[in-house]
Amino acid sequence: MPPIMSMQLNCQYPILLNLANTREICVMDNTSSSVLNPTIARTTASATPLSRGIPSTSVSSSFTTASSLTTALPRRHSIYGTGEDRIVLDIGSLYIKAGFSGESRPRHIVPVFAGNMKTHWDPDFNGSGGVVKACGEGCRIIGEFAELYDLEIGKNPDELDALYDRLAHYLREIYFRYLLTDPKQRKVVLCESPMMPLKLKQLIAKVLFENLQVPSISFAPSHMLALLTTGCTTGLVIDVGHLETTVLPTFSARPLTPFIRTTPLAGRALTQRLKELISAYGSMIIPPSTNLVPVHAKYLTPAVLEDIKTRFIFVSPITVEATVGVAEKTLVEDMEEKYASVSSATDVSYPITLSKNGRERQMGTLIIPSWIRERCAEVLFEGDEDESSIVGCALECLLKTPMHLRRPLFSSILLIGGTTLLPNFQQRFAQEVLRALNKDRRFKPLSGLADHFEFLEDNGSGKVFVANCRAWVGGSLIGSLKSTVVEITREKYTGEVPDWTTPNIPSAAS
Amino acid sequence: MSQQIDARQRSYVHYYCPCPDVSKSNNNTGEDEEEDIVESIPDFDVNSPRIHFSTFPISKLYFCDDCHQIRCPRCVQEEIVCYYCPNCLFEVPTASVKSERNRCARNCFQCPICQNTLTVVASTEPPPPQPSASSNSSASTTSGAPYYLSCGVCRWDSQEIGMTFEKATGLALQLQKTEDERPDVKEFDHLKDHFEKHLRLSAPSTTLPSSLLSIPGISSFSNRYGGGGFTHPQQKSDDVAKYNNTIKIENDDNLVHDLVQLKDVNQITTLTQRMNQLSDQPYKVERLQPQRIHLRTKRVKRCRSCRHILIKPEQKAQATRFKIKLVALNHIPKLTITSLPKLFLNQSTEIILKFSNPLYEEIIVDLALKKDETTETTEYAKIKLLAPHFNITPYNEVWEYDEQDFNISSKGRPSSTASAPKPDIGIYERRGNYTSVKIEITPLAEVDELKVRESTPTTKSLFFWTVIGLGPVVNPATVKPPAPTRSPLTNNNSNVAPTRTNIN
Repeated sequence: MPPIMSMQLNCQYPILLNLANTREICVMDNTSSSVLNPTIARTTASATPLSRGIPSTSVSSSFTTASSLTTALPRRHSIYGTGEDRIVLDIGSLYIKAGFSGESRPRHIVPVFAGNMKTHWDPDFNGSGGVVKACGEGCRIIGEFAELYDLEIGKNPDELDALYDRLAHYLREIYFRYLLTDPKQRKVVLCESPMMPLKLKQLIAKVLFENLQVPSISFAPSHMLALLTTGCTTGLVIDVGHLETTVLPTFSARPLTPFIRTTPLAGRALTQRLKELISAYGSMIIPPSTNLVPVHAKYLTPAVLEDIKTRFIFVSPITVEATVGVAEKTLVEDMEEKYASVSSATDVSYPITLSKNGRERQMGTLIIPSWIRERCAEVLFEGDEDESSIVGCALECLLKTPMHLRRPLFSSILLIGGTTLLPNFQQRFAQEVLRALNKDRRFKPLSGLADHFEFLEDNGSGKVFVANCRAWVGGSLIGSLKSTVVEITREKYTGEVPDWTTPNIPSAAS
Repeated sequence: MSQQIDARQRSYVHYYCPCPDVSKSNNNTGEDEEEDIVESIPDFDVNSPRIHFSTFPISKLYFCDDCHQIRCPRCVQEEIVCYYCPNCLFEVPTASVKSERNRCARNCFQCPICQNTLTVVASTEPPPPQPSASSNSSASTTSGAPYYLSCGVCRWDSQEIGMTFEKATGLALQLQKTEDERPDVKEFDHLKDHFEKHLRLSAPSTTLPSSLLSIPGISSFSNRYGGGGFTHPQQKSDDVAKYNNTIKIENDDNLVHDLVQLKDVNQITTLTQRMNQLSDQPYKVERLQPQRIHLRTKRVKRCRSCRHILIKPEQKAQATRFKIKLVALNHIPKLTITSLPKLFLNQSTEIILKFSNPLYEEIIVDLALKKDETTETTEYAKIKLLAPHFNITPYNEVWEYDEQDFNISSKGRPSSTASAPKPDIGIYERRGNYTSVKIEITPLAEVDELKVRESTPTTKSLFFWTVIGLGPVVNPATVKPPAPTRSPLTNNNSNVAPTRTNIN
């Protein structure tokens, strides 16, 4: 890298930088298990430098020279797993991915549905109306298929407590029924999105430290981790999750956090659109009659919608006849006339539970029109000023980055997150990017890049890791390398967690 | 009729465990605890969503003798005693648990379609005659032929995906090789070597301070990158081109095509099926493979504050007894609802709660709704305790066999004609080791779930809240002839009454 670049970065982002402190903070700690590499242990909330090199060693005591590592690193796990392996957790709003470091895939993906917990429906959900619900507002959280958390945490004072309870419940289950390990023995690596609410981070830390008594936690940014699984350190990582889509450019292992962009068009928006479409245009067959009746919204429970979304929805290429303007969104009412005629798919008859009386289930059939299956995902690619589309979000992010970085970033695009597993998502994304570069005036400065568009996966090893696990795999990679990462130990835990948004507090070097 | 049965099924009594305060209560000294418990009882909000996580049926609770407190599954500490396979009940030694990834290393597999256990079956048909492989046919006719796995529930078998075995034992071992050859495993190892090498190389560099602060986490990791700063503008070492181990050919075209022409929903995997095969999470059912069965554990449970063992199972996997078993059933009175007539709006009804005493001593029970009151009016119901103070006679095994019990029953109201020495108001029945008391409830709102709470202090100053669920409240004005409920997700309306029981 030309030295000039880092100087530029230095000047432009002084807010993040507190150069003076970096020297004091780095401590060479040779007491940890990795003798070979110097480690940095940070104990209080402070942002740590993702720097080009180790800050000056004048403060540090002894540096062990990097004597040769044993070259033949054992590939298999040590038979006596002595706790060198860390637990890697990726806590999402719908699924928690959990496993051990050093493995190439998570052991378990645990859905965070409330499952058989009591259901509290909206008052008019059943159409009964007027029924007083003997529960407070906070009950919304414990629905049948509630996300673990929402983007705005803490609006409701009860919410945090209920969230603590749920987190404790799931994490205990994960440790004692899935991973089958003692939490007190193994350190934890937590993959977090940079936009994860701080309160949620604090709650997770609280559950892990107080309830489960883990020895230490390291927080790692999930975009960065995902990028590491491709072997590259430069790229534009687009994480299409459930609550929101986050785009973060990373250059030479430095996440360029001030350029992060998000949009709420993600899995949840897709589910919402699916529900609206099926309610409006789907039909049902309720035995014993064989007529087609319109769908009542109460049958479309969140579990059913998630099932339909993950199994039958796919993304179609852009059609010429049905393109949408640059900052326009197609309304639900208009979708049928736009898309029904150009669809080439089949209708799907989906068996659906009508009612459940103890052990007996009454089943009906839900007919999902073909064009809904094809075109439901359009909602992700249509945006306006309030909510950019996924492609718009990515390109806006690119516009914010300095010019000389754009080309390498544009040639290394990585899609992660569960929603990208929809078949054909990647191809459609590429199509939309090129179309946006041509048509959208906002992105005119980027139009020169059009020929250089490439996905990282195409260049590298392809879809060897599944997109929703990539962040976890990156965490596993980090956890298995000998260098330790910044971690908070249980003794030093005071309720604060390190976050890039909190100011850099110079700590007494331990 | 079915609705009534439903209501009774949906009524319950749950006990509350204030476990999150365990660590805080450690600060108090021992003597203060009693007073603290009795006086500063936090007002228990029945309708908060948190009660779902902090109230439990008595079957799930433990009781610590030392601390004299209820312990719930959430606040006990668990330690693993042994690992075993639920199918073959083989105890797996701790050392090999990690290397086998918490799965059974023998012949236990799980059907990829329905997650039931698979059985190993010998295919008895001889393979099609192959003149070139005469030895093959002879071997198969003599030995058990290629073995395969078959599911007894959904009739899937592994021949559909072409998975057969030579021997009937050690199947996991036979599959081990293919598991190791998976592309993601190899790629991961390769990545790990790459980064290790990089870290090693750049370790002893001395560079100028950082150029960009960012998210903490892997900073030290990336400190190693491209060791030189301004002085050594060396190339970033991970610019070494990555090995293309395997390029997953995107068979998306086929997949999309199949989805477009989809006819049968069962061709596409469900989420549960996909989550069992995390290496590639396939969409098509044909690509699912049987997984080895996940192990289970036997665990020792300890009280968090005093480290006393509450539950200690036997080491052997087949044994179901416990060496130490301190469960709440044996220490605190069990509350059950014996009579629950339908609750109508604005009609006062009596329900009968039965308290049974598991101890060999008599206990005195004080009931209160909140702060020692015996009536309470919330917006949902008006509740009146008719018997706030009573005792329960101790337990005696004799009574299990003896039906004739001395029956100090005075049926409730003072207008009883029985010549009872003391008028026991509100006590429905006292027999054996239990006492049944009455509670009068007047529902004021048509609710799905009416919850009532009570507190009961005891002489040994054991004190806990209980939540009683009582079933739906029906508005008699709108009662129609009984019809089965249509909506699949009707809530179990239960009136939950938190009751605080202090056991003395």
